[in-house]
Amino acid sequence: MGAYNEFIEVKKNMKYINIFIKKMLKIIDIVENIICATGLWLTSILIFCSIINRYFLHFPIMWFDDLALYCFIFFMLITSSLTTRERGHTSIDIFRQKIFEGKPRADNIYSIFLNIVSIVIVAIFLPVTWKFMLRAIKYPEYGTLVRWFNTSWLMSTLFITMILILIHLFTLLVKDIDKLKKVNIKYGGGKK
Amino acid sequence: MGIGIFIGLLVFFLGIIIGLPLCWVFLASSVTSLTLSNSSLSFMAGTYYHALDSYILMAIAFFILAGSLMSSAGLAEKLVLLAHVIVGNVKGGMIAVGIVATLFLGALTGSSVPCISALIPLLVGPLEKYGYERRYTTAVLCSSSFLGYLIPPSVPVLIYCLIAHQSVAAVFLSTIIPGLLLAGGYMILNYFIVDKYMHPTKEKIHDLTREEKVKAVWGALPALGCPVVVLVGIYGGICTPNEAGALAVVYTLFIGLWVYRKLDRKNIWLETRSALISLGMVFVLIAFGTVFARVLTREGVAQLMATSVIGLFQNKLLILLMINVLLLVLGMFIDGIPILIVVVPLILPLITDINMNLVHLGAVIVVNIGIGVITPPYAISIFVGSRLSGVSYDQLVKPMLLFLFAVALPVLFLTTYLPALSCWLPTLILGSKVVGSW
Repeated sequence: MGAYNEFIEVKKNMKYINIFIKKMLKIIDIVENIICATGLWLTSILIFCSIINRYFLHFPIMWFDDLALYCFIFFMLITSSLTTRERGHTSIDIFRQKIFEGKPRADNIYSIFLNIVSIVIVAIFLPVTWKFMLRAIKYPEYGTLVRWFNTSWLMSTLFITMILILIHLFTLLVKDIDKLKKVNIKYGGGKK
Repeated sequence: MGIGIFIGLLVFFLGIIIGLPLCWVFLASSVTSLTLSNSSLSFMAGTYYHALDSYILMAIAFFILAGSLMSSAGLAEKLVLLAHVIVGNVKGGMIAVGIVATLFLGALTGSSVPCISALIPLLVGPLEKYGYERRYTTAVLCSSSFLGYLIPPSVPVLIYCLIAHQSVAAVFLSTIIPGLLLAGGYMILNYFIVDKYMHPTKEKIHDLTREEKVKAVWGALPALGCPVVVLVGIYGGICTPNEAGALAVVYTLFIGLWVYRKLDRKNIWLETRSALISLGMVFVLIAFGTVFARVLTREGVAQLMATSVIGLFQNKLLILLMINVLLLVLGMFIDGIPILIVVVPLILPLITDINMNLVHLGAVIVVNIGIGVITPPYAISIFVGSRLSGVSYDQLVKPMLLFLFAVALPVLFLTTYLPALSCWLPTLILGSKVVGSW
């Protein structure tokens, strides 16, 4: 009886953890959307204002373009994780289409395989960006390519982006595994 | 060439064949090459970051956003009417209308897919009623879909300029004459073969009255104002390409919201999201592509290729032919942007050795990349066209090959071997100091 209660408790906890993870992922999605959309529009408006300042107000502000570039790099880094989330990265899938046409289960398994390979590749790159971030924090003067602002924060964003990309790749992997289970149920244990 | 880079290249081709996203393919090949040649990976993060630290990338972002907004702003219908006014009366005129509309819409969106996505639903069904075969109309629209790459502003041109460090204004101008030649060639070919794809029907296309013509031109003017703003801005020395991009975004938003009144909050969000996904794809490709290109250059692959090709052919004409064949073959399997990112850094030393003008090279490469959009088996235009029109892939390929062999390839040939075709206009407007000798 005790073991049964423990099992129920664990199951309950798993459910809460699942809900928590889903909520966290949703928050990440919303934050990414807001940062990227705001960044893109803000950059456009800043550059537009820079033209207005120069020609109509005759009062060019030197740091406007640099601020625009700063915002641009920041949102662009985050956009790469948004694209990963939406499976927007381009690939040559002509051979895959030919091989797995009409075989949803095999295609799903292959998609899982590609996801795992992607996770491994990004995980290898992660320590490199970690070191890059540490160096940028330790020597902020290194990040002075955009003259008016300290870009060491942007360099740190690269590491955060890679973490976000990994999170999205894991989420896609879980979704593909879920999909595979559904395909299995549909075709009776994988047999067509 | 060391064993590290050799295995790195193997990983690159293997990654492409198994269908791994190209950005991860670039990353995996770079890591493999560097690890096996006992080099440090630390420069990769810096190169990735600095590849994104560029004002030209900002221009790419703005033009992609403006193009996305354009496709929702209801311009396609206005541009079709305008094209009807211009070429509607000649034989096979309604197909020519499609070609001219593609030219206009391509110039506004700077890309092929939004162009055919807007025009196929608008033209294919209605023209079938007037006797034009569905597969023919779709094939012509798909074949001319890449005109947007050649008429400025164009995203592939911006990416080329970013990689080859060329003047955006010069390369924008270099592709205009090849683009117009292609459009003219398509219309002439259509004039001669359209009868084969037409069946007599009772329905007749009514000629536009004078009032309708004035209305059509008036309605299309605000849309055509966008490329005018961009081109006058850049060539008038008023603004830089990225500022012109920002102007295009604000202008498109203005006409979409207050002139055509087709944009609303939902549309703007959807188009921003679609632009962001495209941007993420392009930027990650550029960043990891730059890392990969740097690895290839460090390992001497580009220089090795240049010396071996020159040793093999020893003739500028043959080298150019070989570059074209390489780009065409790659275009049959890979998207345009990855080709630009991988091939341009590799062939730059070779081009410098044979003293070819880099503005001319830009025109040749962009025409090639454009043709890649319509060359099977991997032809994004055929995929989209087939899905939207309901015509099968096989049915589309046959008439498209006719346009490819009779018009597109000869124009590519002319662009390659007649530098004046691409360099005359930029030299006339910007001067030989910007363009260089050709």
